[in-house]
Amino acid sequence: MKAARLWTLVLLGALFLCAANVPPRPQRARVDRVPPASPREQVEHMLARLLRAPEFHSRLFITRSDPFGGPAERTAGRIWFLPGRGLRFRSEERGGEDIVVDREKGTFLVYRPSEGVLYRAEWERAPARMRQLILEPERILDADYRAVRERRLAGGSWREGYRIHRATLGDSVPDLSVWVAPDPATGLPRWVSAGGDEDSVEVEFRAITILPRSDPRDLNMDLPQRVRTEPLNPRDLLPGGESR
Amino acid sequence: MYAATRGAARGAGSISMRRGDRGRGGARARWGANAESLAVVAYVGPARVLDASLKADSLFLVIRRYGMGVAGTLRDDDGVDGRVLRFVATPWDFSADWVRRALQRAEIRESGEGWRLEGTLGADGESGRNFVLELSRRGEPVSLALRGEGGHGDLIRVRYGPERRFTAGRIPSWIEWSFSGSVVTLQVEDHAPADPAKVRYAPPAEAGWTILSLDEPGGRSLVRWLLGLSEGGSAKP
Repeated sequence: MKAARLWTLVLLGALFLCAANVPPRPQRARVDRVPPASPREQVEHMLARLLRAPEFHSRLFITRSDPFGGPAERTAGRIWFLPGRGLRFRSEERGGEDIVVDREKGTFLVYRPSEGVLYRAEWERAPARMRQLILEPERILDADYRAVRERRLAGGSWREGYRIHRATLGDSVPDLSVWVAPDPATGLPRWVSAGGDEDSVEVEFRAITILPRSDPRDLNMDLPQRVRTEPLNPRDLLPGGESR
Repeated sequence: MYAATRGAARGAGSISMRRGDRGRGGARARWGANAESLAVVAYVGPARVLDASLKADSLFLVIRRYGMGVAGTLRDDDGVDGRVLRFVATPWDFSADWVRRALQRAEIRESGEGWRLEGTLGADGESGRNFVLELSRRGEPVSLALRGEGGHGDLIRVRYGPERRFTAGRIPSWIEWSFSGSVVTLQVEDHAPADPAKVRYAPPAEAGWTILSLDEPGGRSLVRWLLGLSEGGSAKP
């Protein structure tokens, strides 16, 4: 729940921003034999292997700027994404959260080790954008976007990447700048940054692993024996609609 | 030293909050302060979850997780206007003229190992909340209590940790606020001079945000819920 917005942005930027309405085609032939021409095609090329994978997981390093001019903060975590099934993020920070959204089990779980509490809610209570991301990774956004080559400093070096402009991202996605760059060794997305002058987030996907078949056990949390379960009601206390 | 004139400053730290028997939570916080104004951003893990700012009497607060917030002008009919709230939020900063005047007017007496100052802390210097400030023998703040209406009970109580040297000067290493059954503790990790231009008081509004007015019951409920205040609590936003 807490990191839902960030993960939505990160995954939108890294994986799905440009993937909407990509027509089905043989991945191997497209990826390996036909060099993409336009920046947009190159972005699609970069993302297609992830979009169509049964599952991938990766280590993440997230660098968040200080809006008041102080030093940035870096956190680490791990993500598992099973298109059509679910998403898990586990922070590697001390006391960090473990978050799982699982459509098949119909659950949205947040475990906070610092509290020793597992917060449980129904699938429908997960943020709408996260659910959409899981259910329709290739259709979450409309395809009205442009990709422009841009070199940026990421991970301590200048990287060739793509700045992504879009006309419409949906009614509740903020107007932000997204830049994505591939890992030269694998061609998979590695550096993603989102944000503007005031605040920005840079995410490094380190060691993305694409699995030949999904393993739903990756959505299982490693919970201690004694854990208290409480309901997770993100908006019950507030007037308003569903989680976004 | 705590009352010395200060320039714009920024800070960072970790916040933990206990709400009576309703559980506990934690967040990282960054803030920027300049004169009478203050902006705070809170994070849970890498996610930015809350923005709050106070510019004179103008309050803006949005819980990004829920896309919901509140904005409006703080009324001073309770003796808690924007300036009082600003002071309570950064209670190590006694540099505002009206705070220094309140301290100069306060009744001072020896108390244990230090000093006890009693007076009135209000926007106009005459009316406002009664306060009790305990100082160590070295003049460091130990505790601050703002009395409830009529001077009965504490509206909010602040405890100060031992001093620590930061880039922008020496301030308490931790602060603990107690109010209406909630206890919030801030561990200060960074306190440094800031560029005033970096202290922005309202984030760009995002599509889908619902910003309630502070004059609406819903807006006040949101602030109460966030602060862990009961509907019938003595503190008012």
